[in-house]
Amino acid sequence: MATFELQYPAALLLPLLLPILLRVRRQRREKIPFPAVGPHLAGLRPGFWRANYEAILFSMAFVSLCLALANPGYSRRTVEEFIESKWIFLALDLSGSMKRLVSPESPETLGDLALDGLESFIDLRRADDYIGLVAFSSYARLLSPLTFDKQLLKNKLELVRSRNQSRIYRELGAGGGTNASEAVWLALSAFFSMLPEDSRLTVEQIAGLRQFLLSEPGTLLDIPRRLHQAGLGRGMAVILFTDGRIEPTLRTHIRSGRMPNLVNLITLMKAIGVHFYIIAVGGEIDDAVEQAMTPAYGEKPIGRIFVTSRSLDRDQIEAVYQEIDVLEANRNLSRVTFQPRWTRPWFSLLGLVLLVAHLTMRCLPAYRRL
Amino acid sequence: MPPRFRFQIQPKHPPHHAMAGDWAGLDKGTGYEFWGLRKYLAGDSFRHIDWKARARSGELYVREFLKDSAYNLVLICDLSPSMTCGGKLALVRDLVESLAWTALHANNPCGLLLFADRVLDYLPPSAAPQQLQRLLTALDRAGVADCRQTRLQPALAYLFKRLPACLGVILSDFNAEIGDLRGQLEAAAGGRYPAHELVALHILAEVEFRLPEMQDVQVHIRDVETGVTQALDLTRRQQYNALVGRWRKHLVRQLARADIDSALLTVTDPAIQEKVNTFFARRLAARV
Repeated sequence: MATFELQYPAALLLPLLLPILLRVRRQRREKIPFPAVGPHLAGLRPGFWRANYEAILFSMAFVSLCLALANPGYSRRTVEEFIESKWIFLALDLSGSMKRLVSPESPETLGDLALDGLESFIDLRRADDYIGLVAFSSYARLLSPLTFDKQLLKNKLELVRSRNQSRIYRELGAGGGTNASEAVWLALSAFFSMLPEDSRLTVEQIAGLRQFLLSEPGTLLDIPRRLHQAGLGRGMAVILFTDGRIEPTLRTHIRSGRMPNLVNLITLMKAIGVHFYIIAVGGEIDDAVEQAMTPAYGEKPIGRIFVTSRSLDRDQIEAVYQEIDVLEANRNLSRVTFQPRWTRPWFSLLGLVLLVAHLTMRCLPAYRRL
Repeated sequence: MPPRFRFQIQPKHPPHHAMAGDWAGLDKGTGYEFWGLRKYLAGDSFRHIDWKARARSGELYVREFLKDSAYNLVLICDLSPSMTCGGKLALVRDLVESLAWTALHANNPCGLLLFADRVLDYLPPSAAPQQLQRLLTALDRAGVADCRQTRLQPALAYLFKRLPACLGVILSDFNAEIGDLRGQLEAAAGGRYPAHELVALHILAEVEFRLPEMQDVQVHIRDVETGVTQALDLTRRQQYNALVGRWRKHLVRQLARADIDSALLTVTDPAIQEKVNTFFARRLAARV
C-alpha cells in the first residue's frame, strides 16, 4: 500500500453535489407568508451559528460519509531491527563410497566424518536459523524439513550413522550413484513449500520449473512472479557434501531423461538468489558445473566450491563448515513494514456523531425550527 | 343589512367647499347652526357655556350646534398583497361599508380609490342612493393587486388631480416607506392649506402589532409582496414587540409630518368602532 491511498477515489466527487443539495434544501424549506419583512426586522435575525447550524452539520456529515465511502488509507511505517534468520539445507551424500574408512586404523567412515562436520555446523548456527537435511545417493530423501530444533536435527543425523545401521542408511547406501541434482531440487522444493499460502506456487508453475530443470542448459528460464514478490531466496542456502563426481546429470539416468540438470538448478538458484556451496571430496567437478558456479562479470557469486583431498580429516571438514558459516553469517537487518490503516470506520463514526448532534440540537428549544 | 360599525365622522377642519354649510347634517357637532342647550358635563369647553342661561337658571348650560356637512369622503383602500395576511382585507371591506354608510346617511358624497403600486380603480364621490352598492361592488371586483410594492403617493396625486378638496380616509397597513407626503399635500392645496384632510387607519394583523404566544422556535418568513425571506428568532419576543412598535411609531410620525393623523386598528380588536369614533373626536377636540 502506498503512503496515502483512496479505495474509491470517485467518491470524492460527491461533495461537489453539496452546494446543489444545500440550495434545494433551502428552497424546499417552509416559509411563512408575512405581511412585511422590512429593515425593522433585521435585528431579529438569529446569530450565524443558530441560523446555519443545520447546514453546517449537514455539510460536515455529508462530507464525512463521502470520505467514508472513498475510504482514505495510509500506511503506518514501522522499522524493526532484527538478526537475519538463515534457511539452510544440508544435502549429504550417503552413497556406497561414503562408507569407506577414513584410515585403516579408524572405524569411522567418511560418512561419519561428514556427519560430525554437519553436527559442528549445526552447533555453530544461531538458534533462529532454520536447517533442513537431505540425504541422497541414487535418489534423495528428506531427513528433516526446515526446523530450528537442533536436537531433532542431531537425532536425524544419528539415523544415518554407520554404526546405527538404520533402514534409511541401508537403503541409501545400496545406491551407487551421486544424484546431487535431485537432492538440490528436493531442498529447493522444501524452500518453496515454506512460502506463505498466497505466494505458494501452483502445480502448473512447479511443473514449468521442473520442465526447465529437465531441459538442456541455456533454456529460457521463466521465474514465476510470485517467487520474486515473496522474496524467496534471500538468506537461503544449500550445502552439498559429496565425494562423487559432480556433473550436470547422472550418467546412469541420461537415457531416461528424468533427472534435473545441475547446471539448470544452479541457474535457477542464481535467479532466485539461493546460495549454493559444494563440498567436493576428491575434487571431481564437471566443467559445466564449475562454469555455472562462476559468477559472470558484475554478478554476485552464488556460492563456492570447496575441494578437499580424499584423505580429509575432521579438522578439515570443520574448517570448511566454519568458512561456510562465516560466508552465511547472519546479517543485522532492518525490516520496514507498512501497516495499512483504513479510515472508513472513523469517518463513518464521525458522520454518525454529526447526525446525532444535528438531531439533538434540533430538539433544543433555542435551536428548534418550525 | 346594517353595517358592522356605526361611526361618527367628524372632519377636523371646516370644508373648503362652495356648498359647505348650505344644508345641515342630521347630527350635532361643530357647525355654526345653533341646535340647543344642554347641561354642562365635565370636559365641555368653557367657550360653549351659555352665560345668559346660567344667569337665568343658576346652572351651567352649554350650546350645541348642528354638524357641518357637505364634505367629500373618499375611502382610499390599499389592495396590495400584504393586505391578504391575517384577514385585513375583510376588515377593510367592513370599514369601507361602515364609513360609506355613515357618510351617505348624512347626505355626504362618498367615493372610493383603490390602489397598490398604482391606482387600481376610482369611483368619484357621489351621494346617490346606490353609491354604497357601487362602492362595495368595485371593492369586491378589484381583488388583490399583483404587485411587488405599495406606493401611496401615486394614489394621492391621482386623487388631488380630480378633487379640489376632500376628507380622505386611507385604509392601509402602511408597510412601505411613505415618502414626502407633506410637499404633495401643500402643492395640491394651492395656498388653501389644508385643502385635503387625510386620516390614516392602520389596518394591522395581530402579528404586525405584537407577537402572539407561541413556541420558542426559529421560523423563516417570506414577504408576500417583495418575496424577501428572512429567518426570525422567536425566542426574542420582547425585542420583536419593541421593534415592531418602534417601526409603527416611525410610520405614524412620518404621516403626522404631513398632518395625517393615524389610528391603529388590529384585526382582532373587539373595540374598533369605539377606537375610530374616539379618534375622530380627539382630532376635533384638538382643533377646538
